[in-house]
Amino acid sequence: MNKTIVLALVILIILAVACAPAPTPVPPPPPATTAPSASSAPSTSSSAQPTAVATKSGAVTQVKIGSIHPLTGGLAQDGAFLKNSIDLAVDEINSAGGIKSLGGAKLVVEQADSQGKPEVAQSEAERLIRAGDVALIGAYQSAATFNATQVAEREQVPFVIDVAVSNNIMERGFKYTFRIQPNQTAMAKGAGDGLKALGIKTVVMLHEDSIFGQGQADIFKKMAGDYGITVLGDISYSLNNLTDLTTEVSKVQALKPDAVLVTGYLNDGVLMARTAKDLKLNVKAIFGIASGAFSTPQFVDAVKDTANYFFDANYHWDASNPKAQQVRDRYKAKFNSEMPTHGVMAYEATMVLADAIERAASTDPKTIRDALAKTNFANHILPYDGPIRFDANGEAVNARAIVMQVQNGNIVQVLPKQFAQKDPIFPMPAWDNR
Amino acid sequence: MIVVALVAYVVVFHWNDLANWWKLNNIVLRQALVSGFLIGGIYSLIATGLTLIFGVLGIINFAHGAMMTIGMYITFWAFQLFGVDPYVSVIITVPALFLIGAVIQKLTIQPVMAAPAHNQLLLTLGIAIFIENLLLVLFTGDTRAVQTDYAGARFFAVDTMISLPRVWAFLGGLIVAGILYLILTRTDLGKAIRAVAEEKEGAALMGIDTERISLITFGLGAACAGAAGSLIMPFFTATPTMGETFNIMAFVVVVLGGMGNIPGALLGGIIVGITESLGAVFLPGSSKQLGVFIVFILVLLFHPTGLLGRRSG
Repeated sequence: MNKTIVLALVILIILAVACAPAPTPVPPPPPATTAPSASSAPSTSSSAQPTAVATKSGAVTQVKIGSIHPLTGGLAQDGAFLKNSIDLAVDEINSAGGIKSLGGAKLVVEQADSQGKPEVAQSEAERLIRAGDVALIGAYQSAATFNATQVAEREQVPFVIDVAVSNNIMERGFKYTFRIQPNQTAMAKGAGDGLKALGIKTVVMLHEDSIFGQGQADIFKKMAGDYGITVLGDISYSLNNLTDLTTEVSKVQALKPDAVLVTGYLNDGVLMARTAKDLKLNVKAIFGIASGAFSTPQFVDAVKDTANYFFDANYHWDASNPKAQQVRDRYKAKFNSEMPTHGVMAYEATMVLADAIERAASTDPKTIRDALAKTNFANHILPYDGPIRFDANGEAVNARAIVMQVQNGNIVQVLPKQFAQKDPIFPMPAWDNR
Repeated sequence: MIVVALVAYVVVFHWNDLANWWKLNNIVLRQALVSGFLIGGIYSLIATGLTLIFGVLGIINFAHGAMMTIGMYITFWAFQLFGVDPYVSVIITVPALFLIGAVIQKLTIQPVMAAPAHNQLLLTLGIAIFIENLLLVLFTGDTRAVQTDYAGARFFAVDTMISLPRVWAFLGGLIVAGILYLILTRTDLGKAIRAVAEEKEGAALMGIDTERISLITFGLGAACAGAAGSLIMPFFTATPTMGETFNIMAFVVVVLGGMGNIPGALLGGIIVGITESLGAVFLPGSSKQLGVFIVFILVLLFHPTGLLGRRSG
């Protein structure tokens, strides 16, 4: 055969490796791109017409809000959970009398599809704002959220983030962006508190090397000393062409830590768990930080008994709060499926936004923004250290990650004490004894 | 000289560091060799069908990984719905993928057989994207795994873990390669396939139906991908885009071993597997594949037809 074909192939392979798309992400969402965007889009401030439909007498009859999530594409299933949860919250608000300070105006939500793409999330944010939506909720993926919030900031329309973990979304000094879920620092804090409570002294980090996993590991490493924890090693792996983790896990094994701290997505989490079992990884705890696997039913489903005793510090609904179960029951009755954590986040984001509109007694986005900034929402179902409040950056100050563990195939909350459903099982029994 | 001096320097002045490193990492190294060898066998298994299709049709089939993914999904649903063991489901995936491959060849590849290589390449890339998205529509992006009793079966050679499902996949790869080799060397069909690979027009002049041979060959290649899908399912998870993971490595293996050369695919797979695995011992994250591509480039530089490749032009 001729060399040109071989050469063409080489080039193609190198290109393909370089451009290989990231594997389908799972919750918690992938990190944001750091590339600032939206700068080229023409400003549409003048065309952003607030808002709401008024009767001739001037009374507001409905308040339109927008929601942007991946309703098609690889994350479509997650997008559906988020959309349904927002619909549930809106229905509950309306059947309880709508926005009372606006004469019982109905909340109307426009569901937009980001297709899982940051650029689409951005253009959808523009479209919704131009259509007169007074506030937006979104956008599940950090990269999509990063772009969409940029539009909202420019148009001065409040944006409530239900799910998107990356720290850098909130590090731009934006005034119109508010986040319900714990960020990467809160995740690391939740993990540190949990590890300290378990008495873990030495750890090895094992994580995927995009800014989701790497970023999470870097943040934890900086804080490890505060919890009396020594990091013995930092082992990363790439999601591109990931076929085997045996070498990586045996490197963890060789360092003999008390615990291995894992940040990654679902598929690599499954591979990691199976490899840990194969190698009889001799640690006291396998502990996820914001893991996309260890506290999800899909993980337990994929590896069955192997999932037992795995810890994960992550966001969650407050399973110790009966009201949380009632919300999840109502979801199940309506949509005939379990309401996952990210659904609960979207539900709460809607409730917090409705509360702000209620207090603003206005459909002016700026007034709603000011009301959001003064949020003090205690009637929530998240395991936080108090009411939902936002700091100057828009981060939920009381947001925290809690530690969950798989016990008998069930994901239960184990730490901190006040949210625990069960005691943690620690140390993890030896693989030969399970 | 410089290298020798450097090694001598390290050995003399950093003997303790070296000894410590060895103490810490000798198990890791041995484990890396074993697991690299096994994952290499899986690369070989996937590359076998790819190299066959290239050797005979001259088509660079970018849809190979996607066809393997179809095999994985068939295996998953056979297990989920009817409790068919993944290894048993080979008898479903092989004929199913043979048929799918034959249909794809008849409908899409055959009409572009005379087109320039890059057109064929784009076509197979398009087929790959089509299959991936079809799987996404049909089965969503959920991660699918089969959980068998033997999924975690393994034994320890002293302190080195050997995972049995991977050994079975490796042996399965050898069997598939062996069967293909026998077909190619011992049957009339095999002779015809080799004749078409060697000299298409000549074969046609001798009365061989080259279109039919192309169809069968593509089907056989797809069937290999199907078998690979079944054999890796006990320890791997299926998502619609999972094929991409293996596609690149399979191509490296094919080119490394010599395009169209089945024993070459076996050898290439094992070299790639071990290199990648050792890379992970020394290099962090994404760079673990650096070694693989260095070996790949060296082989192309010094032996452009691949390790066992002979033909040229």
